Amino acid sequence: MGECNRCGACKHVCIAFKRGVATGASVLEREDRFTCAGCWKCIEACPEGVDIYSLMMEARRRGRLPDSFRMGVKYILDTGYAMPMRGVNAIRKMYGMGAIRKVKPEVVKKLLRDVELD
Amino acid sequence: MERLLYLGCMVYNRFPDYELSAKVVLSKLGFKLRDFHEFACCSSTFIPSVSDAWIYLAAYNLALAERRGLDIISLCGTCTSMLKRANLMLEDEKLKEKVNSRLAEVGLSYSGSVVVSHLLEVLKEKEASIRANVTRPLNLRVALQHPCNVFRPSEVARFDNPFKPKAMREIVALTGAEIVDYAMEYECCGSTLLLTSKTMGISSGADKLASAREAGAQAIIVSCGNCAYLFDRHQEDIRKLEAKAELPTLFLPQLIGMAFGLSREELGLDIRRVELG
Repeated sequence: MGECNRCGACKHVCIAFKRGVATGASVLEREDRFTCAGCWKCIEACPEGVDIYSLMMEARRRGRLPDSFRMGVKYILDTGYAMPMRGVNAIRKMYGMGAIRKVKPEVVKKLLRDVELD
Repeated sequence: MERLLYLGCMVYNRFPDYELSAKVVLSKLGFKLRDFHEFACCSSTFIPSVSDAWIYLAAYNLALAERRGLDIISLCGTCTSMLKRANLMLEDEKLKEKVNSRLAEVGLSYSGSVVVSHLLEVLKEKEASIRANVTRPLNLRVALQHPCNVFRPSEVARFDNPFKPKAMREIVALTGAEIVDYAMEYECCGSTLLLTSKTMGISSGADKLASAREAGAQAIIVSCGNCAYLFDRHQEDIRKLEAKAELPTLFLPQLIGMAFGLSREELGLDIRRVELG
């Protein structure tokens, strides 16, 4: 994996930067690492082949988690899905679509037992 | 041609019309789609932002598919990318062993055999069949929203051109619809920005739709639930910000299904009451 030489190519293609997210020399240097569209144009633009995806995720783990992310993580830990799904099969029935059995919460608890929210 | 249809949270929860239309169009093309019972979230952007353990959840989905002996068709960009990323990482035998010991606790194992494809990838392979099924070529001008994570990161996606993807254009061209070029065509929709900045997400959507409408589009065609979430579910906020950004959202298989002569009901067009001007 390459190292960042601060050329700024990643910033140039970044939609969050274009919309005003304060950024240092590269998308990895900015303070707000969560206001990111996840379009990953930065990865394609990087001439050094820096593993921006992994570095971005590692950087996020060091900072404070925004509420929306906390909520997403919590839903997944509790139910296996990133949003509330309680009524989903009733809605499907309304449209004449068959129910889809959901993942068992105890399965998710086992799989993600290392994930902690402080 | 039996496949499992991975809905992901967004489509399962919010876009039954995407599922319905994908099922009916793919079945016209010869696929036998099976419902993916007990699927879980791919891990999305959430779990990787807090832990490496995301791979257990992604691998769980792959293991379920492997147990049924079926490859996966997915409908959203991020789901496709996360499942493909897990597959690539699991080529590492040591990691695979670790993941399998966790999967064993829930009665599963994964050898790495499942192929994950986004809808666009399978449609691209069926161009001849799509052409043969078009009975009512469309008289419609459309703009395209290319789903980022189906093409990027390219080392994970391994499909099409990462900056200027062509697949969706080539598929839509088969329907007879006229594809308008618009200034922001290859920009990300910005939907994920909604998570931390509603203002940025809405303005991103408004700019894109206004650019598409200015170019003469009568609808924006999407093939990802996240793009639809911004363009369709935040329509009102977008219109409030920019009146010229009013544009209906159609899922790619709805558009293809229209050209196949399928009914509004079969394509779920009345679920969101899509009206094309």
